[in-house]
Amino acid sequence: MLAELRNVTKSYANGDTSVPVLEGCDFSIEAGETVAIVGPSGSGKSTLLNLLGALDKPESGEVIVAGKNLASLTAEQLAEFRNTEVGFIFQLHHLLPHCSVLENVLVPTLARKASKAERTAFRERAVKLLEAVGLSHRLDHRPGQLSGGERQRAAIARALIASPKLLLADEPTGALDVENAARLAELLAEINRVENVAIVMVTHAPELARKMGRVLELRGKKLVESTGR
Amino acid sequence: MPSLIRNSIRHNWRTHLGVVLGCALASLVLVGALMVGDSVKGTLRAQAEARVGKIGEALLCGERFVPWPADKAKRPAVLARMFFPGKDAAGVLLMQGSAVRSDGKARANKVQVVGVDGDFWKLSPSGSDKADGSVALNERIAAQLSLKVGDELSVYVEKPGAFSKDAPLSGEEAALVTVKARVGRIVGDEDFGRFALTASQVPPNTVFVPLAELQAKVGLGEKVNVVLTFDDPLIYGGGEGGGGLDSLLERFGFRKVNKVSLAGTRDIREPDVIWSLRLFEKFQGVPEFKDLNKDAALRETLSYFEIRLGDLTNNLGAELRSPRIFLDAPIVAAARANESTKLPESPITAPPPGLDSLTYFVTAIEKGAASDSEPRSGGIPAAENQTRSANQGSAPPTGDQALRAKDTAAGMPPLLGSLHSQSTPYSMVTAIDAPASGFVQAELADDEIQITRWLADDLDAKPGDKLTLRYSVMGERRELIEKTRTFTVLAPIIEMEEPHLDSSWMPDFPNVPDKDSFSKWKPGFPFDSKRIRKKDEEYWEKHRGTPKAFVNLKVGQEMWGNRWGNLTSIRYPAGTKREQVERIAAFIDPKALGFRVVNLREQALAATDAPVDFGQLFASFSFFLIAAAAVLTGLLFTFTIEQRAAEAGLLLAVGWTRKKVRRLFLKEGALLALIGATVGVAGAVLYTKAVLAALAGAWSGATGGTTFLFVVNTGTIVGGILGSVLMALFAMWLASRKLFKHEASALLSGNIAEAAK
Repeated sequence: MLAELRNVTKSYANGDTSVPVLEGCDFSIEAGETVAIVGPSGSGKSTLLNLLGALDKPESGEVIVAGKNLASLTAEQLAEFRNTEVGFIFQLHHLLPHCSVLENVLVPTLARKASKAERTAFRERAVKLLEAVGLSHRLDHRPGQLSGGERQRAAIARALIASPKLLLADEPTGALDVENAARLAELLAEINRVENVAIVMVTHAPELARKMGRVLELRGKKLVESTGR
Repeated sequence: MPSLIRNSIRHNWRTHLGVVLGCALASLVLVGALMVGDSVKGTLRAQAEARVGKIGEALLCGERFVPWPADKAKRPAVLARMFFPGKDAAGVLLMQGSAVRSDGKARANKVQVVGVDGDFWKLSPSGSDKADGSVALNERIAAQLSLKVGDELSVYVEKPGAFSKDAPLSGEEAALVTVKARVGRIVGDEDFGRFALTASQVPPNTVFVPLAELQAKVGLGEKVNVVLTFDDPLIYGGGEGGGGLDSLLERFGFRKVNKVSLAGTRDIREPDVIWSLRLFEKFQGVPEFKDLNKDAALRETLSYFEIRLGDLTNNLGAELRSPRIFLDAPIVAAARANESTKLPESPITAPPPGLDSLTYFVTAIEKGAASDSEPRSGGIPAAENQTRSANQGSAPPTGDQALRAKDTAAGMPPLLGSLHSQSTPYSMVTAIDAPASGFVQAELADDEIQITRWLADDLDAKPGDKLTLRYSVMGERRELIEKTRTFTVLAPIIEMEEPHLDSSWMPDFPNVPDKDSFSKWKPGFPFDSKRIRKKDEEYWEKHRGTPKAFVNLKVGQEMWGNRWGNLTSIRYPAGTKREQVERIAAFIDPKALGFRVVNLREQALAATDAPVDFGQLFASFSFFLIAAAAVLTGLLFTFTIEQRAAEAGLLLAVGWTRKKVRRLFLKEGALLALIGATVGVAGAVLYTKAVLAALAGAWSGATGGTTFLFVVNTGTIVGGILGSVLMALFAMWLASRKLFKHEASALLSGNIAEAAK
């Protein structure tokens, strides 16, 4: 088992009231597996992803990734976990506007202490990844000089720079046109195949979801097998 | 990471502009305030440097003068007892006076009149010897009197006496001497235009007169009252601690001792340098001092302290006296110590105990009790009456006038020419330690007087008769107070042939007339020469100031003791060797007599540090402005990073720790602050110049018209920039604390407010 949610509950405050988003939610994914999570807006899909990626904490239940119970990790250990175990792809690419594409890909590596040789190795891997996502000609460009699809591909390269075991993609095609969305879906499938990285993807796009090995739906604050497949 | 910061600053320069300007403002005010402080301090320092030039230490002689021959070879090596002047020292005669243009159209009072020679000019800031035998003025007095080179002026200085003009019997009002001169030079700050011994924002009006000319005019001979030395760190051990002389003496093997317990006597303060006798013995091995004549040196030292040693007539011994009339208390204390202390390193033994006496000039010795002649004033001791008169202006009736008026009213002929008198005018009376005297009756009581045959005959007085002494003492503000005291004549009458009875008892009063002209004396208080009878002139011719009566020392000191002293001589018995008395020099504390050795340079420079640090003062004035600028910087910084919350969220999401993310932002902020602070320095220069212009212009009334120097201190600029950056950084840290408490997901979504709930 690569990652697991056990009886997780999470709610958000809305004024004086607390609005539950997940209640007793369970989830698991094996290494190299791909899972799509679908559901209406506000159903808690992104929350689930944030919990798996240690960007947020559950009120109850356990989140276990790569054998680590995230609740037992210190802030520094959580940061290291995010840096090495998971890769994030956001709907909005969140590339740093003042850095080049190559620098953006390397940003996660700056969190680590590394020797000069290691830095060179990171750089080589970043170039390879950008070649793999079709951006070898855009290494020194700024995000503002790229198209929407290119930015998202650059974000994928950034998510893969640390060779994570789990890729968390939050509506990665949400801001793309159909053509670019399809190309991205293919790219993710290829990455899964080549890098053997497990993918959990939140999406509204049925076509994209169908490309994942499993499709789960968030319904009634719990994950259930999707009926729409 | 550096490229991340650099890229971010380049990318976000518009939003960063506010932070940079905020910090620039803080830096402008802070660095500006510190620069104003530096400039004021630098100006004061420059003024101090101009005031003392290359002078290091100075010997200030107080009211006294020390020999300073023009021939350097003859200069007193013994001066080292108190002070080590070195070969390049300059002797200066520093006096107060006034100056008037020759046409009388302008006058300056409180003028510092300085007698100087070439050595003095070598100590000036420029160090150039400009002694050309002419009179030089500083720019201030030249401007005040509108004098230029070649113009003429008259300088008036009071002729100095051996002692204060406030002392009783000090003689007539001091005469003014005039130095008429043509202005040879007008000296600026570089050439000692600001020379002064004490600090002042405004330089004194100064006239520099050739030393020899001034010495000749005031009749002092080759003497000075200030000796100045070069500030030579090799000799004086630098400016640290002010122990130049001490360290020098230590090199010669002397140890500074503050207090020494003298066997069998009270504790006395050891002279703050060293005992001269020991000094001379030690200095035998030092080339500069090996040829020093110890005896001559001792006598020379005594002359500085204005002590005179005299051999008494009839081989009666030796006497210690002073041209200042009264022996200063420190000298009396030194005499006592000399009499009771062994100096193990000296072959000279202590002298026997001295005989103390106080001889005073009385206006009249009258037959009868004071109550017979004058009404008593209330609140005065039974035997003592007093009336007051001013020493200046019209003289009130003296005792003589009162007596004549009384005689005339009683139908008697005037006293002049009568066989026996009721009053003997203007006489010396000596108060003496009667039991120790050897000739005055040992049992002389406080209310008794022993008189000489001459006086007994003059007043027809015999043992048991009442005699009244009428005398003047000096009150406050030179106010003369006439007093009387009545005594009973004690037997026997002292015959004029008594060997001890001679004129040596009379102190060295100034203006003492020749043998045949007693009536021409100007003793310094109303003196009615018409009262001098023929017999008085004859007495003066034959006996001079021989006392006509003796009273108990204690009573005499009650009547005539004053702040200048209460003894006029200490006599040592026959057989006492002169060197035994001279040994007193070893016990005199020069400081107690008003001699001071000060490190002028250190004092001057120390005065520029105290009491207010203008930089801190101006920074304090600007505190709220600086604080406001810092707060503004912090808020603007927070605003910019709030705009970039998603960026922070992303960094957290990809594995950066909160600390690292925050540090990245703060480093960026520090760089912005540094840029801003550096920009602010340029503004600070303008700010400083504006403040200095205001200090010299609109606020010149508060600064005495001082022209301020613009002083740039690299340390201040670096410190100011550093201070501004740290302040801005603190403000940024404070303001950005809250932002970095949010979860990464909240920061990424940009919905910080909602996430905060």
